[in-house]
Amino acid sequence: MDSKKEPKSIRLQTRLILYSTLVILLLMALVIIIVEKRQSETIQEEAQKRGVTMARHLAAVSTNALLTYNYVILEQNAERVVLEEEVLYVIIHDKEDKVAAYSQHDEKQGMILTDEVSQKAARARAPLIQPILYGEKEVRVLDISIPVYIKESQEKWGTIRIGLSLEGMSSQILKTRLNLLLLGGFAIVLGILGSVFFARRITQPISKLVGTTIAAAEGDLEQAIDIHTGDEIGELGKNFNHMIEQIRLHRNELEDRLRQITSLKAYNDNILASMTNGLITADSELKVVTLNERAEQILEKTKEEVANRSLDQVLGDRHPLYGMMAETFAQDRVIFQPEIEVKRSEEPMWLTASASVLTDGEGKKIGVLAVFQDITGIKALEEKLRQADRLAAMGTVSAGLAHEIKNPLSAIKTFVALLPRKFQNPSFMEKFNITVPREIDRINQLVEDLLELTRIREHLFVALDVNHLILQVIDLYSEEMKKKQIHFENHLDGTISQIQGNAETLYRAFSNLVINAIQAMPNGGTLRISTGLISSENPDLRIAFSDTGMGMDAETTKNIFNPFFTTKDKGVGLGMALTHKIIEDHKGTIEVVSVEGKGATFVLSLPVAKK
Amino acid sequence: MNNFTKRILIVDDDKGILDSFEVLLGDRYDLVMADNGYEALRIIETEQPHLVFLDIKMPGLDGMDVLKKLHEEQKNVEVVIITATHREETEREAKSLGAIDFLMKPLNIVDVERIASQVLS
Repeated sequence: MDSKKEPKSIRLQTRLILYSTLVILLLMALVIIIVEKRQSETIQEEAQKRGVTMARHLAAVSTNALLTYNYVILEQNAERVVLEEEVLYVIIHDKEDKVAAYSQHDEKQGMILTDEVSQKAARARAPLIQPILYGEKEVRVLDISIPVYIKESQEKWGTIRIGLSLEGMSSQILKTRLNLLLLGGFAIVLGILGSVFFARRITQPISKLVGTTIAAAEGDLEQAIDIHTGDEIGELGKNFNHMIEQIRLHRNELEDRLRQITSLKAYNDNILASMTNGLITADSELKVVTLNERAEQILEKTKEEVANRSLDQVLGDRHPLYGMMAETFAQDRVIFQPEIEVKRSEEPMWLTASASVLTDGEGKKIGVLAVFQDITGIKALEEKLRQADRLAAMGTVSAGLAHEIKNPLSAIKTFVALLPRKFQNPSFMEKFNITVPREIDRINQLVEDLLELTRIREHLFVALDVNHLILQVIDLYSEEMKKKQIHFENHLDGTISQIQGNAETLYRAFSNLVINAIQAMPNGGTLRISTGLISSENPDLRIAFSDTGMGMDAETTKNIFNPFFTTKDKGVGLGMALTHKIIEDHKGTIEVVSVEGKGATFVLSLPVAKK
Repeated sequence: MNNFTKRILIVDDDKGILDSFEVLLGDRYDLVMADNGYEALRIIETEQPHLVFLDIKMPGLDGMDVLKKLHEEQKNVEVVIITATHREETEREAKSLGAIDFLMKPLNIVDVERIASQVLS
């Protein structure tokens, strides 16, 4: 990847420069070669043409001298022509090929030249041009020979030869070549510079694009490419900008989401940490996922200790929380345990715990959650309250007991103390005989009631008719009710009156309820007694005693079944306590609902005799 | 020996107590009985007894309420508390409210006779 990141544009630029330079070089070389060749040829042709012209001219002026063998003229002609530029030598051969004139070489007059060039020239019937190397310096020379004919005759009368130096031409060619090279070099340099410029122009946006893509790849999306070339690269840049913008938008959106998720997680973490309840969650394999700080304290485990370990390993398979969570997950139901005891390093702890199944958005079971609260302190407080209640109840009982015993005792004591003084007083004795046994009976009854209240005994239960028992009680108090203008409403259901019970104690319980109702209605009213099934699911017998009397306040309602609690003008305060005890002995319940000033209803439930 | 011009009010919700006061003091003093606090206050207002034997624990208006009422209204009547349960603070409070004595049940006839003769002599 890294090698690809290295900007390719530099290599592309170099390559572009190299290619274009090569093309320029090749082109220039080709041009130079062609031009040089043409130029050289032209120069050579020019030189040749000039030489031939000079030779023809010399031949024209020398024909008569050749016919007449006038060597002097010929020699003069030769010497004159040899003065011409580039002409190195002039040789005139006569009809017999002997040298008639040789510029600057008088000594060769009359000789036959034997060198190959001279031989060829002398024998030539038509103009002949031979390139030769002349003299000691081996100068490049064109030997131009023209045969001389007389008009209208085929007979050759001599040969004119001119040695034309090619040195001038060569230097001219050289100069041309040099010019060409200079021109070519200049053109090449210009070409290279041009190619560099154009290569740069082409590759610069690309390299910009590449730079941007590298930055983008490294994560810097906050940039746009500024390319306005108006070509494919510009188009590419535009598309790239669009793409980067899209990526940037997506990335921003993702970052936003991530921020939201992060803050949500922090929020959740804070909630978990701030909770005063312990919370533990496990996944579908019952491996611990979450443990909040309170749970860490209660369970004496750290998050790190328990993370991704199974619940039974973390808590131990006998831990009540483990049991709850496993059962909840297996049976897919909420379990609530108001009190569970967990062992800890020091004192055991009492927890209230509930466990429920965790589901995902589609309702699929993904784990289990338990929330628990330390109620050790509450339990201790409850225990204290219970004790305080017991003490308070004992206080009430003691005070009631003292009152109920000391009053008759006081009466007995007074009567007995007066006996020695008044035993002969018939009126006193009459009062004595009524009061003392009555007061003794009171104490005795009190003791009996107390014993009854605290006695644990198996009553002899027989099948009995509740309606019959209630009507017996009503019959006993009918006179008193009539006197106090209390109307009895009978709502007894005749179809379900059979229960298992003790007639004696139940009679007493019902009596107490009727007495209570009568005393609650000193100014008359209605006593309504109804029986029936508790509900279709619960076949127990429900008996309700409703009066329209003065009712009770909350305090009285709460304490009505406590021993020695009484608001009555008369009475000990054991009646309702005893009634409660009797109904409990029958495995029933008794409750009271009352609205102050509107009356009270005692509701009893008693198990119906199984048939 | 008879002192029927002196009126004593006995306040107690217990019939036995009322009966025993009847046989103990009935042949010497003019006795009036009340079995609750309201009745007691009414009798004190209408019949102006010289001495009241007042029980504390009664339904409705109890003995201490009656005593407070008498104290507030600055009634010129001597009150003796008779009670089955003894509590130091109750006795202190009763005495601060003007009760002249605090008798515990079961009552001693000597104490009752002594107080009656002292107050009503």
